[in-house]
Amino acid sequence: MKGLDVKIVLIGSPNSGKTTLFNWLTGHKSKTVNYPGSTVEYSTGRLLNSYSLDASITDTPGLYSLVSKSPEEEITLQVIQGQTSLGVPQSLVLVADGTQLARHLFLLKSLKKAKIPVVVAMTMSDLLKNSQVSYDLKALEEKLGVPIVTIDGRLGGGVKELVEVLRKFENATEPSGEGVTELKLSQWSPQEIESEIRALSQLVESCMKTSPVEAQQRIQNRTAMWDRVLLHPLMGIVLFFGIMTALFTSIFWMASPFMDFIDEGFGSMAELVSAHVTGLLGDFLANGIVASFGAVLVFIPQIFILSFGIQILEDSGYLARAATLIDKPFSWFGLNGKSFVPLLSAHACAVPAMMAVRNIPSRKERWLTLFIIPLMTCSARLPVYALLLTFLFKDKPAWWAGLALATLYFGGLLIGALVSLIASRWIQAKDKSFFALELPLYRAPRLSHAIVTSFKRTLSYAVRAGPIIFFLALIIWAGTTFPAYDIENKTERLEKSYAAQMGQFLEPVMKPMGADWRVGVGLISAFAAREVFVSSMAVVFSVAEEDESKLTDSLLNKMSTATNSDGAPLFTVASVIGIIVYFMIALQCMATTGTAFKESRSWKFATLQTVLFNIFGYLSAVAAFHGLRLFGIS
Amino acid sequence: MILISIEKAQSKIYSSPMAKNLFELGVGNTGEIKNISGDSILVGRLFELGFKSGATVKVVHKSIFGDPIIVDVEFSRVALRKAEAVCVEL
Repeated sequence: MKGLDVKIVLIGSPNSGKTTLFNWLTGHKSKTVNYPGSTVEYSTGRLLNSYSLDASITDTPGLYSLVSKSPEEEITLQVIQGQTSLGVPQSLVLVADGTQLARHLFLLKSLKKAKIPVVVAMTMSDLLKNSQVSYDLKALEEKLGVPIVTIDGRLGGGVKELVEVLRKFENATEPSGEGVTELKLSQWSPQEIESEIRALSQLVESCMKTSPVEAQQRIQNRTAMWDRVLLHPLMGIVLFFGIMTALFTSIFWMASPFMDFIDEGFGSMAELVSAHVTGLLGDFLANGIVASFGAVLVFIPQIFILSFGIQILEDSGYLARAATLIDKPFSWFGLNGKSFVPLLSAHACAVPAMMAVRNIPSRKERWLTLFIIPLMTCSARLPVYALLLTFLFKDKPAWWAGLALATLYFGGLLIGALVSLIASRWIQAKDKSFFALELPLYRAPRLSHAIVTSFKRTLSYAVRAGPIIFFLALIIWAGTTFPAYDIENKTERLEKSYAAQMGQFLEPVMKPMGADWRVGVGLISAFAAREVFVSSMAVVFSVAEEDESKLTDSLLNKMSTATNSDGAPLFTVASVIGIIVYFMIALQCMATTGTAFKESRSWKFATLQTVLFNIFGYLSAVAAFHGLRLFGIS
Repeated sequence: MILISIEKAQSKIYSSPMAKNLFELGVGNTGEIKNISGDSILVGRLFELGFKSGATVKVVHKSIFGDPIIVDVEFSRVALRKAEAVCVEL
């Protein structure tokens, strides 16, 4: 098999340009998978055909050293040792940022022990060139004892040369992976680490053609300029809020035409299906299959735009600054500045947000962030809020509802902060909280990279959350259709369905928050996806409106005339606010619970989170309903 | 050698004589690291970020809350919390 499947492993520090190099080698054609038995993700792909070297390439998580005992470090060790199903690597590529060379070469000493050929890929050569900083590469290669190839991540320069070095490695001795056991540096004392770094730093500086002090100034010149504005105590905060507001506005404004398109597309597809396929099968295909696919796909635009925005901010180097600016206020609530990105993504969807929690170093802060993510106002709540706020403010100017919506967003953040504050008292910290964050040099982000990355992230959302949402949507279709599936009238069919029976069973629970069984059915169906609430309400209140745009209107009319069993109006200001409060707090999303389990690797955590937030949401809804009545608002 | 001695001279001019650690140094000031002590994981992390005794550090920014501070060390720019910056003795 030798020569047919050369396994190349990329290793390097965060911000080293590893992913960019990986994309040059594989041509963006890669898949992201979890390491066996771990939540750590890696990308794997094949070397582009044009290099005529048949090789698989594996990316590893970014790490500075093999000193700390993170899961990422463990996995990287296992990969080098050939203990994973990937097999023993044939050659290692240490990716090192040319502007941070001494620090990024720290991994080299450990890697050389593995007796696997190593090549150093020195990235950011364009930055070095622009800053007129250069190395005596021959001397550097000699002193380090490994070949060095300079890479220009923007234009792909040097990638061919790197492949040539790897080709030569292919003919070298069979790697054994032995000696890797010594790789583990956990036994190193801080003094040993320091002296190793000092030696490396002297070695690198001696091969620098520019004086180190001047080189540093030239390299950091542009970044220092930007930071004077973006990290300015006052201006920095103002710009931070400006950038975040712009990001959020773009999620809603830019995504809405696409979402409408998907929504209408699936709507007309469902109509088409039910027009051609009659009976139960037609209903199953239209309202079961097609509608649930629509429920999964309608959030794709928002998730894509948010991931794209976050990726642009990340690649430019700003996200690390944002985390720095917000770290202090976050620490008051037991969180870390690094919680910022997950909490930000949570406003699109909790599922990808939970996957982003891994970058938080302290276990306690990681759990706290994971815990409060479902409280952020995710986009699935929007259709529900839109319906209920329109009902509340139908006679008022439009900005009333807008202001109320902003209040709900802020409310989600506030409740999240309070829950975190309380929970932080309960969770014992096993490890200390650290921040110590490298602020990378500012770089112009590459559009193609951001598009590809956010596309992959969106796809991974669809793959992870999709089946769960789809499955539950099917159950709800069955629950609202059977056993009286042969009745033509939708309302009658629903009244006799299993879902209605369950709703009536739940009526005693619904009463205290001013709702009845029909709202109960809506709330149960919302567990598939929150926005399903709107469509099930439409079915429950028998809105048979052909025109999609009028659906909300007539539902609003039905809602205002709907009465309780005693004849009093069902939807009052108090009861609607009660439902809104429930939606704000309750964790009604099975996909979120599933992801919480995967990320925390604890059923206890995921169950506790789901049950607690539902009870808390319910009690708050009841309190809001009765509280408002006490003040004379019914 | 000349450059290094100039650098050291500069650090003497700008550094605040009272500063015992990096957090006390103050924005715009430069100092030389004498020692790094504290939690071993944190110390290891600081080494990885480029902090080491003998290296020159400069505080370049401070957050509006006074914490974290942003520091230039070697070729990198790093944000440190107060609790982390006090581990860097000057």
